[in-house]
Amino acid sequence: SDSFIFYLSEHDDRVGGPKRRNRKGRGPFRAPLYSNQVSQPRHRGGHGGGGGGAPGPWSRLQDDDGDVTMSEVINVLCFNLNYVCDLIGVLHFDCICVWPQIPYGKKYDKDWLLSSLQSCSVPFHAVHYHTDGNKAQFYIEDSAIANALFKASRKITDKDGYKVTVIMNSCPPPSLIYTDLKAADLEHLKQCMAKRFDGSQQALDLNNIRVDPDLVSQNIEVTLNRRNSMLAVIKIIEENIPELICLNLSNNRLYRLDDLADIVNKVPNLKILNLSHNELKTERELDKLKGLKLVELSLEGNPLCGHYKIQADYVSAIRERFPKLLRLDGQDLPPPIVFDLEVAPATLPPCKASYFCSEEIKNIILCFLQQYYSIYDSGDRQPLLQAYHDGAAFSLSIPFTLQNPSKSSLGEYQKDSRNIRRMKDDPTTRFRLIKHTRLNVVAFLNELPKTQHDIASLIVDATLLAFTVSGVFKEIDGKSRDSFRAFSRVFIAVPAGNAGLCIVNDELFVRNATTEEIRRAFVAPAPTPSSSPVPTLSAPQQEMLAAFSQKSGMNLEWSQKGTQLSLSTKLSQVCFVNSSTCTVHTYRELKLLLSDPWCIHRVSAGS
Amino acid sequence: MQTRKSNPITKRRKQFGSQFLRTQIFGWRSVKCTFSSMASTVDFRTLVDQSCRYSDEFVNIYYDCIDKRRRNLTRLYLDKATLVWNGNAVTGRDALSEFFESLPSSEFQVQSLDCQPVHEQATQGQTTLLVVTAGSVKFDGNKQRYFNQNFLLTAQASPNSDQPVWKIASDCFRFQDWAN
Repeated sequence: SDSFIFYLSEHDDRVGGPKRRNRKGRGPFRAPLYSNQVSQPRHRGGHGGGGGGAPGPWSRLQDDDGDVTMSEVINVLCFNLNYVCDLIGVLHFDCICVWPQIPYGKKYDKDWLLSSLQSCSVPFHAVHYHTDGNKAQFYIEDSAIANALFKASRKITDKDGYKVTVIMNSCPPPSLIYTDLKAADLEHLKQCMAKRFDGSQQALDLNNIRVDPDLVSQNIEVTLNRRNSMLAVIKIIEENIPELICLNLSNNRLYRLDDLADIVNKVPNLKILNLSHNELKTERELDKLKGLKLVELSLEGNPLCGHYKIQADYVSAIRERFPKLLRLDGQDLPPPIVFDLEVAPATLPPCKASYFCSEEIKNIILCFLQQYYSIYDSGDRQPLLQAYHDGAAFSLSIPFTLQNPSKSSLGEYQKDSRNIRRMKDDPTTRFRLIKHTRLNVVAFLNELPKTQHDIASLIVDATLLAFTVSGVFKEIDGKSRDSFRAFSRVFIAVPAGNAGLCIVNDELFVRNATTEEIRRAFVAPAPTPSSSPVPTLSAPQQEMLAAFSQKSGMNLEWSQKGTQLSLSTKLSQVCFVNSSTCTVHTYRELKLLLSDPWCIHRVSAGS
Repeated sequence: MQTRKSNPITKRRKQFGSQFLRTQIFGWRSVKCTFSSMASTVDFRTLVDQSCRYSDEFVNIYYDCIDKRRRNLTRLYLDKATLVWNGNAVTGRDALSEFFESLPSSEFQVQSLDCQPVHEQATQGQTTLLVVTAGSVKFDGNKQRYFNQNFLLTAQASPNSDQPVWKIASDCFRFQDWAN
């Protein structure tokens, strides 16, 4: 890809004659032209000459005489138009990004500088104004504005008598200002995409999504040729409509398909893709989508189409990437002759819920977990000491991702996370991160954030030797309060006491919960919908309930599920009857009786 | 402290000091280390270091095998091993063989690995490791998914040689989004 640089020499033409100043170089300072290309910035869609052509406005400003000082200048950086600068709030794509570098510009008042420039040229929006060392830099949009800025060169004189000159350089687009879409914006985007989705066809139309009124009205910038926008869109598709068959990405000024590549894995059923009226310059971009079993593809209106004089060559180049293609640019293709190698891929076995190797084990484990997590969630995990063996071991791990490791919001867990693949050279840390002996284990557990586990939705996979618990919990204090986490925890336990368990090994894996998991978490059982209106308590029934409540002294709550009424009350108000001795106990007394909290006893709840 | 049985392994260990002989055959072998009481921290440290080394090696072998030499996979399992795969239980070599045969070809990427030496009380003195992995897998014809897996590896006397081998006694695998 071409890029072009103009370097204009500076000219010290201050009023009052040149003063000797600190110069970076000696003698006349004239930088060479890196390239002789003096053309206008390339216009979108054209294949305009990279070289030759009429000299643009830039050349006018080139000085022919030499003696300059390294005074305050603004370097205007012209990006290759193939690179789109991700500017905040940019509405245009083919822009010259002005990256003015103003040596000693730090001393300038930002407002003075910008308003001076504006008064000499046109109003513009300076983005990401910042100082870097002594230089001041900012970005602007639009080639027209850049033009105007050039014209403003040396029209501004600062208070020291220096004139400001415009210089152009080229550089790759900075990655500083890539911003992710905020969660609220993602939600709007999702709604917007939902409107553009046709369920009957499994088709999603993202044609020119940037100008969608729903997004524009919310001031949400979704420009698909920017990595973050594209990734956000793919994520929404992956999470909501992964079975998508047809996707329209026309008119989105896509010039490369690197960011779309993930779609091969995440939307494997995609068969119809419309990439027409974009900026794809070469069919090699399609290599990034290899693996998609496309049946229909549209590419018209892309620069790459102009490369082929012979239609057959064009078709075969595209079919090289998508051998199953039957329709290209709206025209049916003769079906390809293939080799019968395709074997229908085996399906995966269906996923099931908890597995227990026996009923007995199931009861023991479920009871254990009930007790374990009630203490774990209670705010003081000290009583867990009784659950662990003297020589117990514990360690924890979190997912490792190369991308954006700093973005992990699992901060509380990160420092104690044990991923031995990353610790091969550090056996000391590897050892330190295993907590050994129950005192150390429970002390550490007590330091972990306070939690509330969704007990109802725990999944347990239990063999004789070990059981794995997976589920979701919420953090209820600390920096990450209200964060939802998902976990997978392996317990290895030995029998203890009366049908109790004692943990010898405990490994906890924590990750962030997915949106789906969060949605399903802590959902109270909903009343079953019925076609007839749900009956409520009749007046006599209510009276009866009130009377009973009063006589028994119990606070009763009633809930309704369909036509079924159930009464519930606090455990403290329930009486327990020992059927062999016929003694009545309160729950508290019962607990004391059963001094070993890790045993199961059969009790009958009195009423 | 447990009495050390005099056997060729201990003799060899004394001979070579703390070096552990490892050779690669279709699986992999290691010299069994006779563990003394778990309460001693010195020994625990050694156990931890060993478990890290062995589990790292195991993970390389296992996932390479499941991706590229699926037919050999069951050799890594005990005769009576149990696999719980997304809630589906599979026990015994034959059933395991059939099961792995039925799975589409896979591409595993292990992103995190943790391990612990298992307390002898749980294993009646048989050297055992807990290996916990997480990562992503793409089964042919299905989209890529994240998974959690854990293994119990136990050292077994091998009929083929006088060196013990690690075998998988239990294997628990679940997609992170199994409910979807």
